[in-house]
Amino acid sequence: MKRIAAIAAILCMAMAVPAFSATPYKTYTRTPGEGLSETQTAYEPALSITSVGELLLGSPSDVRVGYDGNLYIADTGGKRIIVATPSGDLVRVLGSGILSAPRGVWVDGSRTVYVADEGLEKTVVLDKDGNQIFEYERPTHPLFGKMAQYKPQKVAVDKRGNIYVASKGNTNGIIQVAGGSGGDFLGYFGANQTRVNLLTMFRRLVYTEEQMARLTDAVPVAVTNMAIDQQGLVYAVSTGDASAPLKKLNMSGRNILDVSFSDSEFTAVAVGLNGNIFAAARSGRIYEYNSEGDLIFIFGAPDDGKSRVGLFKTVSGMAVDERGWIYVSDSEKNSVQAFAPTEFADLVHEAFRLFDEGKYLESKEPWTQIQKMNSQFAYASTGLGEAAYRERQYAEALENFRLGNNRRGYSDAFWELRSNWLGSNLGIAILVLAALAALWQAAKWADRKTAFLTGARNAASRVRNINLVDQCMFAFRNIKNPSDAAYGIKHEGKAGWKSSGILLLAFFVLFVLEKYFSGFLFKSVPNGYYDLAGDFFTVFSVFALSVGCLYLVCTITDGEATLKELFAGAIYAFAPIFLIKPGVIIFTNVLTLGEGFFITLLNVVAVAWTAILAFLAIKNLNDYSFGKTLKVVLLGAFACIVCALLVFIVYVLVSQFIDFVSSIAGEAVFKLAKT
Amino acid sequence: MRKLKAFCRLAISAMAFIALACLTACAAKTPASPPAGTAGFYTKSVGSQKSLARVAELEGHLLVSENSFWEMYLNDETLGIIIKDKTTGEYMRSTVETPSSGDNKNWAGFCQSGVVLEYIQGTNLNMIRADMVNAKKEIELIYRENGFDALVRFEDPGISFALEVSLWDYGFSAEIPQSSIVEEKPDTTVGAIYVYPFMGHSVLGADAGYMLIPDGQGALIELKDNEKRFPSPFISSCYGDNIGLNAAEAWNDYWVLPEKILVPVYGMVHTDKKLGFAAIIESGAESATIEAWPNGASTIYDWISARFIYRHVFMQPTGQTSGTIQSRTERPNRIDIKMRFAFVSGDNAGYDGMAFRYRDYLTETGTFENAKDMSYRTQVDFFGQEKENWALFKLDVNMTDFASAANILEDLGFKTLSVYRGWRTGGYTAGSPALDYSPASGLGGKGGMKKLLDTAKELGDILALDANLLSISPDAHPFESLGSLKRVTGRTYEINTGSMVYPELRYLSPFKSLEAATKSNISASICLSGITSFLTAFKDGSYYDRADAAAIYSQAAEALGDGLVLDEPFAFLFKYGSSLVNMPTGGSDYIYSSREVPFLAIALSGQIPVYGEYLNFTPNQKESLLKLIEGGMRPAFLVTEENPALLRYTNRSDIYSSQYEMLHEQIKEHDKIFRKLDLATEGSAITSHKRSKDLAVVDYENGARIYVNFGDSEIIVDGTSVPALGWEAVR
Repeated sequence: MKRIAAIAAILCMAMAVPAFSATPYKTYTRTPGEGLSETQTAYEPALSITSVGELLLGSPSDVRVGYDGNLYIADTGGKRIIVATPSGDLVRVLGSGILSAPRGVWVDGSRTVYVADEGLEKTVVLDKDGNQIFEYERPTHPLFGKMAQYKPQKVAVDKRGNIYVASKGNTNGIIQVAGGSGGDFLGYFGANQTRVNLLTMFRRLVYTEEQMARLTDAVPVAVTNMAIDQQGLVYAVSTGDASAPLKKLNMSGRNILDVSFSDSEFTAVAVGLNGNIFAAARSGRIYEYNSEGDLIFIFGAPDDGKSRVGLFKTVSGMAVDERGWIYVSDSEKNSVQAFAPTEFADLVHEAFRLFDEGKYLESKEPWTQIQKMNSQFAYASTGLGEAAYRERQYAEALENFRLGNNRRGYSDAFWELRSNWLGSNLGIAILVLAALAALWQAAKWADRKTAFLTGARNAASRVRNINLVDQCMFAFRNIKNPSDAAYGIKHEGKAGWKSSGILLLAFFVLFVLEKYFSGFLFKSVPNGYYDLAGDFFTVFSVFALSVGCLYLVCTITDGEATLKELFAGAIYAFAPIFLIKPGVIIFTNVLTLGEGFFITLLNVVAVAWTAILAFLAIKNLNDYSFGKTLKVVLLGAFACIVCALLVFIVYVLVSQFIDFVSSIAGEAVFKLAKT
Repeated sequence: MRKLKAFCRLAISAMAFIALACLTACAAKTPASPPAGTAGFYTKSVGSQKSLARVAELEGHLLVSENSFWEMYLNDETLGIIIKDKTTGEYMRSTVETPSSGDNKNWAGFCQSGVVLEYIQGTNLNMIRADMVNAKKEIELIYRENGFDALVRFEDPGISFALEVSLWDYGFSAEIPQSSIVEEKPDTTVGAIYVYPFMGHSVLGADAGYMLIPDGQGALIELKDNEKRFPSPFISSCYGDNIGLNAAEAWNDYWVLPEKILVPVYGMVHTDKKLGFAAIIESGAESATIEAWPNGASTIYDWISARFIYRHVFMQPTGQTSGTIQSRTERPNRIDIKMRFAFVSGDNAGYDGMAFRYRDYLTETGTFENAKDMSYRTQVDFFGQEKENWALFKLDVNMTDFASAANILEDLGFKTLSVYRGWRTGGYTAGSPALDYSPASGLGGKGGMKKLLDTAKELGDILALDANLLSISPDAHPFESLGSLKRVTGRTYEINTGSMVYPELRYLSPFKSLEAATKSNISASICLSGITSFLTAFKDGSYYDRADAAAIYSQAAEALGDGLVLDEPFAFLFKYGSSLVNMPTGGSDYIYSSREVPFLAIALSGQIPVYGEYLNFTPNQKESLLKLIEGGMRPAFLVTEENPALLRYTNRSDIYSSQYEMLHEQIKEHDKIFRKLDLATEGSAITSHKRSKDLAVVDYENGARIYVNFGDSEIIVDGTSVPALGWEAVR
């Protein structure tokens, strides 16, 4: 009986259990060089607060975590600040009867509450009991600007008491005001920039000031939300700023953060443990970065219409508490949703903390645990690679950096391994090379005495004398003497359709080899990606289009070259590529990133040399002057663009026509079948 | 002849009316008059309640049947019933007594009706509702010893059907045989039918209790005033989405798809009255949706019901990219509605009681006949081969060859259930749709497989070969994929996988799946997957509904022999299984769901081995372990010999944690834990399950009691200390 009573006492709270289960959204992490990949859930929805005590939330616009651990919710619809425990129980209500439309809230160490009130067009300061201490109206300082708007949306306060206000429609930046009774305007801070491109440069040249003012993309966007970390650095997000929607501003207001993945619709930002940065897009995607701006996780999602927790309609604010729980307000769903980190996320955070502190060896344990839970987690591979590198286990480091797709680390480990290999094998390698050279000289000497290589020479000669082989090999004369080569093509039958076709095929092979089989450090396509059909189409169609268009232009500009000659001239101009590219492909497998300039140099030489030879081939084959050749080349390029456009238009028209006909036929068939 | 028949019917009806009038005159109080707004209504009664020893009335309903446990009262105008618990005197209504003034006419009629028809006129997308209050109708009642039959005819659509309600020891059953449905107008057809949608309803938290929805393991929706916080209800098709008709939800960037309804059961409990019911859809579930409406989502009522859909209106595309025409399915779905409302009362009035009722039903229907081996095993699955791109062709990625799998089984040193996935030539994604015995040569070929099977047999392990009879890769099997599944529109159903290797997958037509099953030459144990958790209407010459597909899949399972291992199966396939794997441990996180409960695990406990989802992919290992213990489920792992990083560029890049070298300690540790649990429970069934904030208390048939502590601190209960995030067994 006693046992039953004990159980019953515990069971009386049976219906208050928060749900912990599979999340309704996917979680992604970043694999350098490959984009995003799915991973275990990092944060689970732990709580959905739609009412605090008896108070229903009405369009909550912001949420912050105070030093007391409580949540401060800007309840815009209720015209108040609701203070709640992390589990959603009511602590107190502030600002009732004072506030009009609180959109942003901040709480400092002394529990003083700062409220950005759009309705009052003021920033209101309340003490911990809700009494109004100060209010800051629109600054009257001339530098604030006559036309500048003051409709406070969000507010933040640094340790010195300086107040930062993000105002709706104010594109000059964050408004910085001195705290206390003064409230002096200190200036603008962290203004966004407009993107300068060719179009804007052109507009600036020709548009009047009025016209420029009317262009929305000529004006920078306003800062949407802010946060301040322990060091006093300000983090800002700006909805609509595609180039840098998330910024970490130094004391002078300059952005010092470069994030690899972001969202131009960021509306909320918070700083968590270890300086990790959280930014949330309006739609509901939440991004977590480490303090350096490396993306760790993306989770959360827009509402799917199925009323599932952890999904959003309009994210308006975000905060992180000491446990690492994230609180996100949703002004459309009238809720604040809490997310708790999983065991996996806790491990990742611990590993990052150690790693960022430079404790690579200490971080090995958590990274190992993470790799056990997710062998494809690139950061774990990189972390283990760094640890192994410091332990001088370069082979292990190389493998881990490879798994983590970390090119810099891989390059360093490879350099060490190569250096070690050379150190222990250089002598032998030199000896082997010397032996080979001696053998070669001995063979030559013996051949002079006994002519034992005559058979081989004759066989090689017979092969060279095969017309097709001879025609293919003629390409290399182009390198030595382009004029002779043109003469040979035009008058000596040194090139044919077959030989040109074979060379084009050889070029395609080289193209494929370089694209897919370059060394890990210099490969330009993601691992696992192959598209030979696409490559084939690209190479052959571009070549055919270029030669075809050039031929058309030549025929109307008194050119003397036939299509066959132009085709041969063009492909024979690729001789430098045939010479250099195999070397480039080999070098990409043995050089490190630091030596990459050599590969770049070889590529530049190959391409430039080919371009010159192609130009000379067009000139010599058509007997053009230099100027006329230039004109023909430019006209040919223009013709290519026109042709491509034409093909595209024809394709669209034909496909629409086919769809129209099939739609009519489909409907007719359907109706006939019904009758 | 017809006149004579009509005369007879009239005479019988008149007699019935007289009998009924006499009976009602004897009653203490006459039944309530038809609700306001009742239009064109009349009832003819055949027979009477004369078989009953007494005449009784309850809230305007007349007693029509009773047994040792229950009394059933009927309102012959709305066909609403009341079920009264004879032991406690508590009862549940199936209709709202007095609609709220805020309800519009349609809602008021709906909530006061025992049965509601929705019909389609032409190809109108919106169904028209005919309820028992607002619609012009005729009802002919025939009373039986244990219930009544009601022949209902709605005048406007010209549709009639028979509702047969019977009282049993468990509660009552309600049936609408398809043969009783008559459609008089060619252009007006039955769209959908609700049967006792408001059974056990509540209003704005007037009753304490909850609704049970079959989301994953099961979830509860608390009966309380929601203050309009929940804008939408739970509406989900039994046995997953009908992708042959509805927009497909395949691979997407954002969402994890909600759990499918594996078992067509829902329930309602009024904990204050200690009365509730589990509604089991015995027949017709293939074309049913389950709807749970918490108050605030449209009305002030909390109600839960099944909706049986007979016909669908859909958009038929006529062109490749544009042009659609509205159409409706060419024939009604095959539905013989049969619902069992199994009541629970007293201490059983809870989700666990409902689970026991469902277990009783499954046992009665011989569902567990193939589950003969209940001995404890840990599930350790193998992943064999997958493909990755290369320049000229696709390369094999061999993850676990047969010899390595045999070594792993030997190393584990305990009895396992193992499913070998990706064992066939072509690998996991591009394996041949024909279910032939073709072990991948890269994994060891037939010789290697034979040795592995022999090893497993020697060790006493069950090794089942995965047979996915659903997916087909058009890249790998272009000719076979020509006959793949077509939606009702006639368009081939295609799935974007988001992978670079096989970016598109299709599904086999059910007939092709059946053909593959019947021609299978695999003599080893089989794990049936794919079709076990997929059901759709489709077109193969003519229209086939989901009941047809279910029948075909059942035949396919039967053709593969007894004792299949079933991968996350729908309930209609349970009977072919010796064990169920990959069963959900959680739910879909619906915002109105106040709590998840292991309803399904409780129902199946002690009857068939149930294994959870792979533990190696869960972010909260401890919590997942405790959930399994709480539900009496068994752990499962997916292992590979090689590092799963090799799968990064394959279709199965989602396997990111599987290397045996890293997992073996964890697997062995879990095996120890669950063997200890099995020793305590002796594989018996759960007889009680209660959960507090952090503590779950689970009682077993053999007298064992398991405490599971989900909290961060130790709990002492009845002198037993349950460690934080731990469990304890007592007897």
